[in-house]
Amino acid sequence: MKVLVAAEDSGSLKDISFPFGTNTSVQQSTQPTITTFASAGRSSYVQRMIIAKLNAGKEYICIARKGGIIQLYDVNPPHALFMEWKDMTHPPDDAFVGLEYVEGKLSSCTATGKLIIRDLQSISDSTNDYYTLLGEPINAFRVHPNQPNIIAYGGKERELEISIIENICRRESNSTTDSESDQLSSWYIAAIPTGRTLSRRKLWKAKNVKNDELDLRVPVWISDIRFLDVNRNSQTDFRLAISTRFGHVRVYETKYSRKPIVNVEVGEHPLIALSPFINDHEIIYCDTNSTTARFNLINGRKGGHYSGAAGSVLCLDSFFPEQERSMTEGNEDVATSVARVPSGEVPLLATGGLDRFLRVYNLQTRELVAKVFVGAKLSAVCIVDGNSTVPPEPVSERESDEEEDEEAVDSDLVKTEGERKRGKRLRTEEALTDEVGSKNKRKKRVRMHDELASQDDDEEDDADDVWNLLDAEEEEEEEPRIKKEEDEDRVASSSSATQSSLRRRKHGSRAATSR
Amino acid sequence: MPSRKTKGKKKSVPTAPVSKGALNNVKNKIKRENLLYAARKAHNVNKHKSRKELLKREQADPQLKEERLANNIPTTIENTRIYDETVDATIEGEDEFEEYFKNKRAPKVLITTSKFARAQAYEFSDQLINIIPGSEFVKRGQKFTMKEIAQFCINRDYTDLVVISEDKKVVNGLTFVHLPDGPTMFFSLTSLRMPKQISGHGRATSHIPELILNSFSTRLGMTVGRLFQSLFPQTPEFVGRQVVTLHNQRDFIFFRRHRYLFKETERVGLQELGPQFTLKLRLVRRGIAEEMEWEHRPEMDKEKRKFYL
Repeated sequence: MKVLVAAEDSGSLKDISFPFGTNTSVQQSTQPTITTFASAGRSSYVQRMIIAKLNAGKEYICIARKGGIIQLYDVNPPHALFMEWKDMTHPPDDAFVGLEYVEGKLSSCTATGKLIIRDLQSISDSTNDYYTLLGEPINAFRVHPNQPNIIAYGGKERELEISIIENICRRESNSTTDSESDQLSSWYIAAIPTGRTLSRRKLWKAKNVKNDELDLRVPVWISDIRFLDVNRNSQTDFRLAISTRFGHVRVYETKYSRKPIVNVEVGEHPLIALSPFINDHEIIYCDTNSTTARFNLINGRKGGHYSGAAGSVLCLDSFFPEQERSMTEGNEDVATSVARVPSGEVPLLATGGLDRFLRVYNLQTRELVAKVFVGAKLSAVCIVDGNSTVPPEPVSERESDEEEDEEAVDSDLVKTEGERKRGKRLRTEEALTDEVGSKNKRKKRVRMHDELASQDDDEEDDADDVWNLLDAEEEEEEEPRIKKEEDEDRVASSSSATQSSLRRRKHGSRAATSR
Repeated sequence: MPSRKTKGKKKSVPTAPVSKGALNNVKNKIKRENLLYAARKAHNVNKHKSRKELLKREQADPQLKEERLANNIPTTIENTRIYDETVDATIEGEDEFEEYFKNKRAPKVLITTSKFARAQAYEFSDQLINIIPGSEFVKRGQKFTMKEIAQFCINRDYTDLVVISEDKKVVNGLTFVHLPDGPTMFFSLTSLRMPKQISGHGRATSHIPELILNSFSTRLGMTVGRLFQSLFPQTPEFVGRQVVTLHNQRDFIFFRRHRYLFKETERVGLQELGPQFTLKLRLVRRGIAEEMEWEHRPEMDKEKRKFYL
């Protein structure tokens, strides 16, 4: 597999390729190949990194550096610099808090609230960047993964807000017939009469939770935002999860309430980042005390740790194979429009942080798949290739090809062994959940009911929704009892089935067609 | 015949020349004791004899001794240490100590104590002021937190903040905050001996000492070493003949301070100046007590051949 990481100490990017089972702490283990490029020093280290797939089908590493530099690098070696934009922040010591690529629109947001949207479909055009000011301070920023005109942001003492950029519009019909224009996104930035300032309209703003037991106001400090259930395709109905610097994970249903429908303090340490899980009712978070864990957004409980990190984890990147993603989302059209999907069979989670190690876990079983000493603190991480073997390099010489073949055979062995273990562990986990699950369920229900009853009247629908989810979960857990020899794919599909059944209940006709 | 304890015969039996089985067959206790005694004596005599011979041979041919010493490496915990890929890793890019190492920024250190400190902490702070050249002591009030104090120090161009922890009249910890961007390191402090308690101790002068940092080998160890280094000016005054040693062994950092004396051309004399204490790294946090970089956890002590510094 192949992972790109950003080294904070040297301001460089590293291309790390290794087979599953790599562990640099074991001397005899296969060692990874690390290529360092794009060094720019600590003063302009990479704050955000994503991978963007442009119209031509080429993938680029898109990075936002400290000091207001945004660059595009080629994903494949020798990693040539493709594009560079300077002075994207003002003042220069401002930090990037978000970098998103949706439907050909690259959005970057800084801590002082300057949002710049750039149309990468007309990359040669010098005046393709537009901006709007969101106001200070911003600590978290996301663009809706399917609708590039919907943005969510929040920060220190700044409640979660969802806005719509009115200049980004969807094309009504495919009037053009050329094959080139088919690749173009259906979203375009409309002509703006007032220079390059985008017009923004606030759609929804969250309300703070109730005062605590001492009747003190709960402080607000949003650290990360994730859109959940992304193919609702509506401008009023969103489901979001946020993490806070006060250790809370919250879920908002914008249609039902301005207050969160789930609000759980997962730990006493500040949370740093969130990362999506295979299904939408779980999420992965990391905090400043080296905890990376899965969190169930429905019953509000921890789903186990991704253990091993010695220092705080700063960046997460989760990846799940294409078919799983499309199944969870229930809509194939949406799945193809996702910015990029790396190849691979196993769902993975890559973490990096202050202990200078890159760790890759199996997303489902939480097992450590690979561990690589990078030599510098990691500020960003991106999975490029999720296959269990080393991706073949475009090399002309035959000798090197033969060497790689040998390596591939070795790693296959590693993989099969690993899979056997994983399968075993999964079975035992299922058995455990069978035992424990039924006991806790009643308690859970009672608690949820109490919480919901205390909320406002207009949240009645919402309560029903949670009940539906609980029922759906029960269905899911009953399945393994019948068939205990299920493998990972089967589990994933069952969870996705839950998702789609849930969706069917919620928005009857639309989701039903998707299945 | 010397009086011997009857217990001895049960426990250890010499390997040569009488075997264990042969001794057990002797039914008479006194006889058995005598045999054992003789066997032990013979063993000892043999040992001394062979050593003398070896000495003679090695005096005649010094190369033999070199060979023997080269081949005979005893296994220790240190040399059977568990493999750590970060040992002797190159320091990539820049770290927080770049100002000191690249731009030769002179250290300016502020020393203070934990809140409600007692005499022991102040006595120790006297020693620290003495050790770190150009450091200042400020009495800790109750008003400000450590983060606030660190900010005040940044405003006044300090490069380091040292906080002495004291509990139940015992100095038990040291916190180093490198300014302005961290890191923050907390060490537990044990085995403190003040100069007064060290017999034959010398009196330290105000010269800038030389610094010896021993075996800070892993990437984390290097950071710790660089932190200690950045407390001392880079221009030692050799006239003072004073050395501060921070010796890391099995993750314990031993602090010693000496004055060296050239009595003859071959050997050098040492006079200890004190104090002595032992530090153990407990916590490294980024910035001024922000995200955790490394923490000593109890399970780390499970494997006694694994070291982190």
